[in-house]
Amino acid sequence: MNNRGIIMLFVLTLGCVKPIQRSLTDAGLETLNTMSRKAHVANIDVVDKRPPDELESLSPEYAYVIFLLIWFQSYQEGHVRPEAELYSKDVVKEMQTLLRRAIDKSRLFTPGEGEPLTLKVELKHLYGISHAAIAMIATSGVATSTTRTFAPYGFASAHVELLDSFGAKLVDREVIGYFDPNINHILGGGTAQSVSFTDSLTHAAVQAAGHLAGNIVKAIEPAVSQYPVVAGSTPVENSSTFFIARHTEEGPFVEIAGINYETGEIISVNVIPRWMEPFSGINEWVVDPYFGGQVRLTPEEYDKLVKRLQKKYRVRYTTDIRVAHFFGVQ
Amino acid sequence: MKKLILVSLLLVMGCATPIGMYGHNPEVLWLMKTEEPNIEIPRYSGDGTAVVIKRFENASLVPIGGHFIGEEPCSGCIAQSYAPYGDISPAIYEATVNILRANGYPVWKDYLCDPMAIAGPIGYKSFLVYHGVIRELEIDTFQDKGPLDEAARTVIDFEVLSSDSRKLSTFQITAKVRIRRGSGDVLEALGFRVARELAVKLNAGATL
Repeated sequence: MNNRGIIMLFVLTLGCVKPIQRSLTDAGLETLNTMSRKAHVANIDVVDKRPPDELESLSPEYAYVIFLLIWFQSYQEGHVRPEAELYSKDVVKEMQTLLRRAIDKSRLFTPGEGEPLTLKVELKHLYGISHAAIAMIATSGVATSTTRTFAPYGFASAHVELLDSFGAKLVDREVIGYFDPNINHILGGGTAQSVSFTDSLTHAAVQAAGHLAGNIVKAIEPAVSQYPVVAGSTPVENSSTFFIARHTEEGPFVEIAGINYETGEIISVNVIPRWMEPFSGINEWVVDPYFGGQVRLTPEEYDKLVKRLQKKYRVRYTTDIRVAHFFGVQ
Repeated sequence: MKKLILVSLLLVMGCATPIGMYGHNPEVLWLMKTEEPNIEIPRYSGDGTAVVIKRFENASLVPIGGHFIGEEPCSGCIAQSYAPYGDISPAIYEATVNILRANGYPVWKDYLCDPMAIAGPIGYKSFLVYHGVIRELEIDTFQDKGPLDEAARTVIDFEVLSSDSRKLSTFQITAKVRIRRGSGDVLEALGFRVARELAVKLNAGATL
């Protein structure tokens, strides 16, 4: 193999196999699982604000090339990123569809009922990326090439606003989503199998978009807790069972224990994937602000619950002004 | 001529700062000296204003995924490390607020971050709210033919709000740390440094 052939080896690996054309609508979705509120998202506006250079592909650049008679040596290092069009032909439309799927899957809203809300999403970044280093040496007809590539990684970020029917902003914040094949295996997603390294990068980008969509719904959930639950008022005041919860050390899971209020008996223990944003430090037992992982209690509802529990149990606001720690029976 | 080329080659290979993954240049972290993870921060000497520090939002672009380290330890074998599940901003947040409280600072956490105005800590009629957004967060692992080092850097934008959610002021904190792997948690160590920067603000007057 001549030197030119060696030089082109990595480029061929990336570019010769026809990459799969993906769509954001194929992303795996992981979002909340909560009681529905009397509100609905009437409009989803997505604006593409990605920087223009993020839409172009990237490949490793030469750090040096040494060519001396029969000796050739080169070193390339840099980021690898496919063209943005490969993971979405129409990012605005596909993102709108993805967000609608995430909203419907969460069951947080009740279609057509209650307050009509508008969700505005300004997409700031979306890409799949990796990093590669290629060292080549060729002399006297012998060539060696060492390539080191890092795992593909997907990243997405957006500025999100949720407005009520009067145009008042209920949410105004940044949300991110990411995909790491080593830890996001639970996302799944229906994208086609990767045939080339480029495909693994576009797969990462699509899954990052899905993670972003799910996180956007999680991010707007606190603001929606002011609307009544469709099933009726949350069963806090007279419930015979209350719940304590702790974030586990081993990943994004919450351990929830159901306790009989009168007897103090533990009647259920479940570990569920944490669909909400974190509400306490790791391994700290708190009175569950999501009442058994079902529905977020308003500050007033939660405070009433804490006062009721304090009659029989050691419950105190310690380091957090909103979430009370549980220390057992009095 | 051959010697010149050879020396140039060696210089290029040996002195170049390794390029970080995913668009980041870890020169700052690479050049740092290794330190102890935990540091002391000054005891509280402020005006007693209670401050509620909301859970840090993470708006940074830095990935937190798994990493790939070369088979041989070398100064070029850089990889993004530290792959905890889920959010990582709570680790920095927890360390920051816990170390401040341990040193007598009147600060409280607000994990739930309700968008509406909050009641504040018990016993305090007035209080301030610090709302932090992590703009940059970089975590790197370095190998240099020896034990691994871990390093982290962050930039956090803060808004200072009144108890009725009026914006009073803004400020920015930057913090960085490099520790020996196994000597502690690098995000916790970073939290200590963030706490030290916040301590300066709180002692000078919480609204500044």
